[in-house]
Parts: sequence; structure tokens; C-alpha cells
Amino acid sequence: MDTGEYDVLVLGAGPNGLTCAAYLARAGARVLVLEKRFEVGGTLATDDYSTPFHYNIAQATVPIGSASPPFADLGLSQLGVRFIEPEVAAAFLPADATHPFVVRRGGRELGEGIAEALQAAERIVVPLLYCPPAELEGVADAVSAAGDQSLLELAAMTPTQLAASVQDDRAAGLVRYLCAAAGFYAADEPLGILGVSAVLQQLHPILVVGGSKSLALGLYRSSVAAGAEYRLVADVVSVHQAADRLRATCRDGREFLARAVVSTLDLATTFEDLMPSETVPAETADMVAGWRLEETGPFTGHFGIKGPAPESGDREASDAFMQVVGFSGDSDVADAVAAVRNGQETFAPCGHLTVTTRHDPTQAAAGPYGPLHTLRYSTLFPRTGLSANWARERTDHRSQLWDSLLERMPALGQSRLLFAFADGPADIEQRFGTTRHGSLRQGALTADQTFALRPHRDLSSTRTPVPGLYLGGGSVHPGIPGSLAGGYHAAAAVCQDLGLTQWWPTPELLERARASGDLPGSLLPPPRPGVHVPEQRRREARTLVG
Amino acid sequence: MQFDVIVVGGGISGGLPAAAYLQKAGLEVAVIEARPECGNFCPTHETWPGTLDSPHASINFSGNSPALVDLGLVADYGYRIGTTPVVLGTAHPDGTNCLICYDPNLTAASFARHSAADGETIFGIQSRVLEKMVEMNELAFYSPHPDPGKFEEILKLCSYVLGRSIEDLSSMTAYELLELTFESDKARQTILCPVALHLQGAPLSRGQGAFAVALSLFYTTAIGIGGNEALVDAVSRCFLDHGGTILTNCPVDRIEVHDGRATAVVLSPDAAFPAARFEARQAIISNVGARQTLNLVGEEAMQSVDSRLATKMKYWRMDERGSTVTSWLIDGRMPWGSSDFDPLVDKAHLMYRAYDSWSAAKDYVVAMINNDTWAAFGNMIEILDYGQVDPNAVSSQGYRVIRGEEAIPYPLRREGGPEAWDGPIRDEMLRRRHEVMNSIAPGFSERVIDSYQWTPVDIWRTNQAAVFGQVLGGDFSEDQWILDRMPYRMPVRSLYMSNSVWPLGLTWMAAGYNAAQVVAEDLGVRHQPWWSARPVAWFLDNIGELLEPLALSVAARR
Repeated sequence: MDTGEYDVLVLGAGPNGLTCAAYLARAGARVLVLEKRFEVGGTLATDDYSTPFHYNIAQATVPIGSASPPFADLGLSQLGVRFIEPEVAAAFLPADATHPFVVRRGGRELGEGIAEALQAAERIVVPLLYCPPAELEGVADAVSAAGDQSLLELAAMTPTQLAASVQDDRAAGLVRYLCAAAGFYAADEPLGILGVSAVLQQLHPILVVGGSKSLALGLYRSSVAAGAEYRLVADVVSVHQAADRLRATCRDGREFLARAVVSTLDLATTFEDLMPSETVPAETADMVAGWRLEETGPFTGHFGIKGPAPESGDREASDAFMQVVGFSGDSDVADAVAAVRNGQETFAPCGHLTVTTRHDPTQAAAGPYGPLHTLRYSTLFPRTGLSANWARERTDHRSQLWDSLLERMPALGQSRLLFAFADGPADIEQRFGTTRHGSLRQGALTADQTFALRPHRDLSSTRTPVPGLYLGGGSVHPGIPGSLAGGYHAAAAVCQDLGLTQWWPTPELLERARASGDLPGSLLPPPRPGVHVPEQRRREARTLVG
Repeated sequence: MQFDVIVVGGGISGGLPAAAYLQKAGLEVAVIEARPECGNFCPTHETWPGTLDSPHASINFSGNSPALVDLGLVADYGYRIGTTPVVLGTAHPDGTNCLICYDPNLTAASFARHSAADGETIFGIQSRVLEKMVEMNELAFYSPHPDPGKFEEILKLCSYVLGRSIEDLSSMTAYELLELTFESDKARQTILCPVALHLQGAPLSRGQGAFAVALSLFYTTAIGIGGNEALVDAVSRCFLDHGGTILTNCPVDRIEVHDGRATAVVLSPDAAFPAARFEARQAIISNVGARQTLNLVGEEAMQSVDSRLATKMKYWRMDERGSTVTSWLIDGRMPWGSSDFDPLVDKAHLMYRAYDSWSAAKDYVVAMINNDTWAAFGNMIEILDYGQVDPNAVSSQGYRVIRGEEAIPYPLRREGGPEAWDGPIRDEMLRRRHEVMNSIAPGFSERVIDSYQWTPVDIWRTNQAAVFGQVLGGDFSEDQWILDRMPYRMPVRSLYMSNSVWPLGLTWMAAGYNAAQVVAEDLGVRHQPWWSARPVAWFLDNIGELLEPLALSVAARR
């Protein structure tokens, strides 16, 4: 039976697990990553299902591209990881086919307030993702001190207020839709600083060339080159204390021991399913029980067509990364969001279309017999369980989605639909496990669950009350999918606790924020130069254990 | 950037294993792959939540490969395969089945249900096959052909296991041999089915047909735990762990040849490193097949060193058979109609829907040769059931994927040409397939929840080396058999091939193993203490464990 002893076990080979493993392996730790799925990458999954099209199953964009600290630290550019930043971010195409409302990258069309807030989010909030978790007041002070009132003003708003803050009804509908797409389904709950930043960041879409998984594969290759080991279809069912070690046991009986375990899984899985209840302090158990998840996730259809890329009549709108379709205006969006919150399916599919290949032609085969295009249509959908008949219903929904697109974009009629795939919230949850309710975020981004409060003041450093157990996924600061920051922070904590060299320097992103005064020194980690480490190889590395 | 060896194309049969062997032998190797991931034709998909499907390199033959041991895939990288007592079998519309099992006694018992004499015959043949399993794999598959000396040895072994002289076999088709060897049509079909999928030779070819039958007896069949992509993952990790470089999203535009020597690889302008030029100090291995290699090297460069080979590459035949694959999501298990006849079928992972009769089996091959699409359609389907081996492939709701493959003539000239594959033929293909599946598994189509079809054109689109959807590196026609396939060592110096060579591609990883052998010998790094495993030996030593019903042991622990 496959078994072994390591310095660190990382549970989950999603973006955070891969990142954490890559940093720790380079620090000289013997690292084993245990992944429940058959492949690495987690929600950065891109699959072609053996068709000529690439489908980004869960996550089509990343919040930060080549400026993320792991990109530089882990040498991802040398591994060929590249990003694309579409110029036109979003368009609201009214259901009555009147003129669309188009928003370019940066969001100016939505008004100065939103554009300024987006800038502030990128200057101040993005660096904070890679800082130790700050107290909310400290974050607000920093934003205020940097002279950016608009971000604070918007942070205090609810989706309804944010929609009301823009003039045009189409723009209002777009803004409200962006809130829902960022997980804010409740119309009357304030967004908070991180929340509104996540909403606005959709106006600065970044996609990975070749599909989201290409980023994950870059992290993966970097980690394997540094000596990290992997086991796939390794479904960990328990983590037990064994003397001064932790023992992870897989469903198929494989067992692994380590001094530290980094769980990138969601809180309920980590503390309720894996850890024996007697090892979890009551306060932690209460916190987990009270943890708020997002209410639902989208139903997404993926369509591979042979024919030209669909045009909507308006060239700029056709160029938009997110083409919001199926609504007449703001009240329509509000009704649809409220309906899915209440568990009702909206009468007609409505959501946003991305013609992936318009932005990244490599996400469909060049031929023969083209042109081929990949369409991704993500629609609002209520949280449903896996009913006995769901597998068949899903197929029906997939057809409805395509039919509704055909109706709205008659030009699509010239194309031939070659392949169609779809996932509802329950499917996403079944695929990835940690994506409860079909949401990518392992917990709502409301203010009380962000920064130093994610998931709780005592746990946001990634350390937990269970000796040797760390949190490194979306449930810990900052909780922004694809930021890689959870795994980044966990790697730092494990390095410190195991006495390993934290070889990577303070990120350039933070040094810039320090130099420009965008962030006060109190929120920033102390400056630290990088330390050259020889490239580690697993068969040469010594186990620290024993 | 410079490397000792550049491998163009990170496929599982050739590129990746060649790279891993050579990197482990101390060379600095880069794999340049056009697509975002390596192992393009050995993917696993969770097409439907909670299930696994490996629709292309579907049957896992890696049990034959020495790489499992040499590269430490099992010991160091956690790679696992499993199988069932049944190597493969046929299910017949009359409610019977006929099974080849790892245990010759079980095979004999199955064949004896159709004919007592056939039971004895297959027992003798299979016993001799097992006796020569390692030796034959070494000679026929894990040797860099063309090698006339080894070819003779292969024929001798074929002669030994079939009990007929080489001279006799040399003029027999597969059909003649099977008619003379077995009296039952069922037994004949069971041996014929894998050959008729044209895996290693054309059944109607005299000599080649008979020898192809013999070779087809030396396979092991398995399924990767966690899907066959686990093999790609393990080989890639071995390669990276030893310091190798994998560059994906990097289509190659050309291979530079100077003074008759391949020296560098130039990427296309839309590659992750646009138009970058990578120098190969020692060797370039092309894993993209004869036609594509000629395109990369340039016809002139190849003509100037070997005009005969250049012409052969240009007209390398790839269109005799197109693969068409259906994956069905079904609720529950395969409802085999022959369970009552022999319940062992309920344990099988690989079955063939046999032809309606022995004469239909002959008509099928004639239809293939005549490009008669509709006559070839819906005869014989290869059926794989992953859930029989891998519990990870079955969803918590009890859904599993059943995968079916047919070989069909590619061109569709009478139907309007290859582009017709995108038309209603997809739907017609599915309809016919449901009929055929229902004929051996009553009620099958009622269990189907969803399905996808892949046509040869889709396969070509996803895999540029699979011209016309040919995924085996080129037809195994008489002019492209063992001694007449591409050489591993090309007349352009420092250029090697690991596709369109002998044997075929897929998860055997023999093409990559052989390419690595040739390159390592030329570069003086062949002698490595770890490079010593014999093919299929590990599989035979561990067959007991591989047969352990993983699904049951997991269920018991729950």
C-alpha cells in the first residue's frame, strides 16, 4: 500500500494547494499534495472533453495576472503562462434588442465614482490580498488615507444602492448583475470593501491563455520541479493526531503522515468531516456552524460551434467579455436575482455570454473544417439539490439555454452546434466538493467574513487551534478565487513554524504600495529580500522529520 | 534556450516516455507541446459529475511497458492500474458470450461452451502465449524496428504459439487461420475482434493477417485508477522531477536542418514563446507522425537525404480507418443479455459486440476496404466499462460511463466528403449504435441519460498528429507493416521518430521506449542501472493484486 512520511501534506491540488506546495517544496520541505479529483487545478479546471473546444468549467477569469507574487516567485512566465486582458469588459444587451450599454476596461462609462473605486481597489485592495490579514478598520483607514473616498462610499452600499448610483437603467441592471455574479444575491446587504472590490474587478477581466488550467499547470510544474509529490484520486476521509504528527487517511486506505497539514478545503469539510470532533475546540466548531456560504452558483452552458463568432449587431458589445443578456433593465435583474434566491428558476434563461475564442483563439482548434468557436453562457440559477432526475433535467436545461441564445442572437442560426455541456450549482459542488452550493468562494465575502475575520480572528493567519493544522484555501484570507493568496499565506506560516527559509522576497506589488504610500507600513509585512535556494529535487531532499 | 534533446509533441505513446527515459539518463530534455496539456490522446474527463471517462486511449495497455518499473511510475509516482479476470470477450446477439481470461483454464471453459475442441485449442495456445509473453513483448514491441533479425524471431514465436509453420502462416489471412484453428464461429470472432479494429495489421492481408492474430494475443488490458490520464500525469511528473522541461501552448512551425543535421526547433508566432528558437545540441525526436514531420523538416531537406523515404512520408496512409467513439452516461450497470449464459461477463471491463455471424465478420472487412460507410457501420463495437475496475469512475448516484468505439472508413465520399461528419451522421451513428447495444444488452438505451459522439474529424481537430482521425500513427496496411514503418533513426542526422513507427502508439509507450533506446545508444547513455525492466514482467508478477476487486475492498472500508 502506498504510504509515506512527509514534512507537509497539502489537502487539495486547487490553485491554493498548488501554490502552497510550490513555495514549500522550494523551501526544502518534503511535500505531498493529496487531491480528491483525477486531475490537479481545482476550479481552474479547463477541459476539452476530447472535443475541439476548451471549456472553463468553473472559473473563466483570474483576479490578477502577471502582477501576482507567485507569478514572479515561481517563474511562471518561463513556463509559458500568459494572460489576456480584454479591452471591453461588459455589455448589457437589453432583452428588447434596443441599444446595448457597453463598459470598457476600467468602468468609466459607469461614472467617475465607480471608475475611481475600481482604481483604488487595484492600487490598495489587491496588494492587501498578499499582506497579512488586516483588521477592517485598518483597511478602511488606509483607503481613506490614500484619498479614495469613492471605494469607501461604494463599500457601504447594498447592490440596490449601487445600482441606483448609476444613471442609466441598463447600467444599473449591469451593476446589479455584477453583484450577483460576485456572490451578492441579497439586494439589501452592504458589499464591504473586499466585496465591492470583487464586484468591480469584473470590469477588469483577465483570462489565462489556453484556458484557466494553464495557470494551474504552470504552478503544478513549478512545484513538481521543486520536488513536490502528488497523489490523485486521493480522497482524504480523516486527519488524526498521531503522536506529534498528523495522519491523513484516504478512502481507499492509503495513509500519509506529516508534521503539518495544510487544508485548502472548505471549513465544513476540514473541521466537520476530516477532523475527529473531539480535536476541534468548541469555539471553532461554533464558528464553522455559523459560517455563511454563498446562496448559489450559476448554471453554465458550454457550446462548441462551427461557424463565425456570434455578433450582436453592435460591434463593441460583441467585443465585450461579459455580454449580459436576457434582461430588459434593472428591475428585471432584481426580480431574477430575487427569484433564484427564493429557489425559483427564472422563466427564461438569463445571464452572461462569453465568446471565449474571440478573446483567446487558442481555446478552439484551428481546424480542419472551421471556423470553430467556444461559447460560455453562465446563467442565474437557484440552489437545487441533486434530485433523482437531475441528470436528465440538466440535459433539458442545456437545450433551453442554447435555444434562448439562438432566439437572442439569430446570427447563431448560421452556425452548427457541435458540442454542448452544462453544469448547475449541484454539479459544480459534486465535481469539486469544496464549492458548496455551487459557489467558487468557500464562504460569502460579506465584511464580517473578510480580512482578519476570515474565517475568524484567531484563524486568519492560516494557523488553527489544532496543532499542525493550517488553512490555506478559500476559507482563509483573502478568499478571492484564483488570487493564489490563501496558499501563499499558508506557505509562509508553515515555513516559519517548521523553521524553513522563507526564500521569496516581499512582492514587488507590496513594495510599490509602500513606496507610493498607498498602504501604511503597519499593514505591510516587513521588507524581506529573497534568498537564493538551489533547485530542490525530491530524491535529494532530506526529510526534516525525525 | 538550448537543450540536449528536444521532443516535438508530448504524447503518451512516444514523446513523453522518450523524454522521461532520456532525462533520467542524464540528458537535458525539453518537451514542446502545441496544446495546453501533454498526453493529448490519453485524456480523462469528468464529463458528467462524479464519473470518469478516458474516451480515446481507453484501454490501458501500460501493463506491458517496462516504464512502470524503470521510471518508477508505480513505486515513486503513485500510478495504479487495475483489471478484471477477463482480458476481453465478445457478446453475441443470440445471448451468448465468449471470453479470453488471464487464467487459461477460465478461457478454455468459456470457449468450451461453444466447442469442446476449441476449449482445448485455446488452452494450448494461451499457455504457450503466457510462456512467451515477456520474450514476445521484448521482440515485437519493445525493440526499435525495423530489425530484420528480430522480425524473424517474432515469426518463430508466432509459429510456436499457433502450432503452424512460418511458411504456412505467411500465406494465410486472419480468416483462413481462424477457420482452420477453431470450429466455432464464436471462438473465431473473439480472437478476430481486436484484430479487426486494425490494431496491428490488416486481417485480409495474406501473412500479415495471420501474424496479426498471433500478436493480438500478447496484450494485457487494464484501466488506470483515476482514469488513464493518471499515466500521463505519472510520466510527466517523473520527467519534471528529474529536471525536464515541459513547454505547452507551443505549436512548432519547423525543425531546422543544417548540413543534413537537425539542429533546432522554431515555434509558431502564436506560441507561448512566439517564434522562439530552441537549439537541440544532440537530438530532436519528432512525435507528430510521418506527414507532419515532413512538413516540419521541409520536403526539400528530406528529399535531399532520402528521396524514397521523403515520398513515403508525403503519401503516408492514414485514412483506412477512422475512429468513432460514443460515451454514454448510464444509470446502473451494463445489462448484458448473456449473463445467464456465463455470468463471468458481468465482471468484464472490455467486451466486443461481435458480428451477427462469421460471414458478417468477413463482409465488414470488405466494406472497410471499399469505403462503404453504412455497410461497415453498426457491426462490431468495442465496449469499455471503467466502473468494473475503478470505483472512482462511478458517481455516488450510481451513474457510469460506457464507452464504445467503432472503426469506420474515413472519407465519406458518397456522403459529401469528410465534412459530412459534422452533419446528421452523428445522430444516425448514435441511433444505430443504440440498436446494436440493445441487441447484446437488452434495455441498454433506456438506461442512457446522456451521450457524446466523437467523429474522426473531431479527433483530428483535437490532435494534429491524428490526420484524418487516424490515431495509431498511420494505417497498418501491407506497405506500412513492421519492417515498412518509419525508422526510429531518420536519415537526417540527429532526427528521430517516435510516431508512425512500429508498433502502434497508445498506452503501450513502446514507441517512446524504443526511440529513447536508439537515442540513448547513439549518445552513449544507454547503460543505466535502473534501465533494466523487462516488458510485462511486472504485470504478470502482480496480476493477483491487479485483479483484486478494488471496488469491493473500498466498499468494505466504508
